[in-house]
Amino acid sequence: MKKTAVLIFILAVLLAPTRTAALMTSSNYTIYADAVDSGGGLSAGGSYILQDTVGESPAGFSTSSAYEIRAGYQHMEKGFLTLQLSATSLNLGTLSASAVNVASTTATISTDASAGFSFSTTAVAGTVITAVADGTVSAGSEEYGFTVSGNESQFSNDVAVASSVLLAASTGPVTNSLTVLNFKASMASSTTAGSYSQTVTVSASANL
Amino acid sequence: MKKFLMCFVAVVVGILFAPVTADAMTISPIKFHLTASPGTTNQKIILRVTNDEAVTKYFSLKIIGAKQNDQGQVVYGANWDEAEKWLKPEKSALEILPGKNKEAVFFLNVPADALPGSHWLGLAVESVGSSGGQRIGLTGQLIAPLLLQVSGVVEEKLEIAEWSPPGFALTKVWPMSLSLKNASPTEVPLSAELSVTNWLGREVYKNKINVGELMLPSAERSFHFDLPLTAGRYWPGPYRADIRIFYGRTTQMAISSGSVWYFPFYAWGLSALALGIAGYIIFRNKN
Repeated sequence: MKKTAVLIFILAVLLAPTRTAALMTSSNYTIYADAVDSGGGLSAGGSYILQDTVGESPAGFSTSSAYEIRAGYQHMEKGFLTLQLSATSLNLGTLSASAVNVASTTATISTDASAGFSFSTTAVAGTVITAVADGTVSAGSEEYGFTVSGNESQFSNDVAVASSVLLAASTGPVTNSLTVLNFKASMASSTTAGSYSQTVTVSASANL
Repeated sequence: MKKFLMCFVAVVVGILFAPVTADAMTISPIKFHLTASPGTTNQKIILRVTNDEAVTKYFSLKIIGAKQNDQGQVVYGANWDEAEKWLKPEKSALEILPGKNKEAVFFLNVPADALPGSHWLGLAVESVGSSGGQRIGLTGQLIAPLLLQVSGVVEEKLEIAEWSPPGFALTKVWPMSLSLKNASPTEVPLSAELSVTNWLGREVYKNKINVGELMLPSAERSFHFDLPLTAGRYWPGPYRADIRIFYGRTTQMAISSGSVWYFPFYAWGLSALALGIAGYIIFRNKN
């Protein structure tokens, strides 16, 4: 009886189910089998798990430059971002060599983003006259550009209307931040007559 | 009756002179971060869009890429990242009544052969506005940044592409040039420290410098700044300027050194005087 019990015990130890998690390890990294709940909605919160693959060296720096991204994390920064444009169609009218024509619109931005916002041009298309290059659109010269004004505006001189121009930015939440975009054009006596138009996309986004 | 008439007039005036905005919209949430494994299908992301105007508006929905320019500014554009194709809006446009909101639904499908790493994208909501004609047509757009990380092992690597202290300096203001490149498939947090050591190996200057806080994948950044060595005494001679960049979640460090020969104007004068005296002594001894 006693021998039978010992035999059963030994067999139980030998045949006990081992962990069969899909886990591969090496001296350098670990890959986990992950399960992602596809098709689920977004949930707030959650933890972001990082795993250093090797412990830190005595100097405080890691001896390995690799780490693992684990699937299944979802996080969103709740909050709002509002953009208002006072005018979306600006007419610079008929140009003359004796004056600079100006047309303006005001962008009003509000957000509770903790890192603030950025407001910039993201796309520009169309045919226009020569872009300003000397910082000022001057009467008598063929030049086209814009400038911005407001508490969060990023420049005060006249610059070429192009994509990826940062117009305004904040480092924290704002309420009704106003940025005035002033489009300017002037012509020289040698400027070719014609109709010119442009489409400009301006975008606001929360800062990273 | 008089009171009612006054109120009626006030309401009419208010309506007539109420501020009318041509483009007004709101999005929420404002940022997303998700991790997904290769082969993920139909993972849903929801963005709420509000029409703040007094008329029904159409809003087009797009996925665009994001990257950092040389100054660290995040810019957005189309066809910058392969992951832009992994996300698709359920509908390409939304029609929203005035003052109302709707959910913009996006579905994520990650290819099975997608490599581990980060993809910075933007969920863009664009107000369908007027075109140019004989005008400047402005279109407003709101973008919610989205960090999409494909699971797996990633390796962080930041390169110091250029570290150029001045080889020779006449004053105690040394112009420096530094260029960094994030060669990782993931973003890296970073900070930097500059130190100067004299020919005796003694550290005579050490301070943090601002290189920004985060570099996105493949981002490059350049800095040009003057190092003012105003405090302390700096004897003429050779110095070594070291830049240390601390980066990554794995706490890596990149280091680069450059030498500077500091020879101020007074040292030139003293050297000329010494040479003159030596030359005189030699000449006198010869005669």
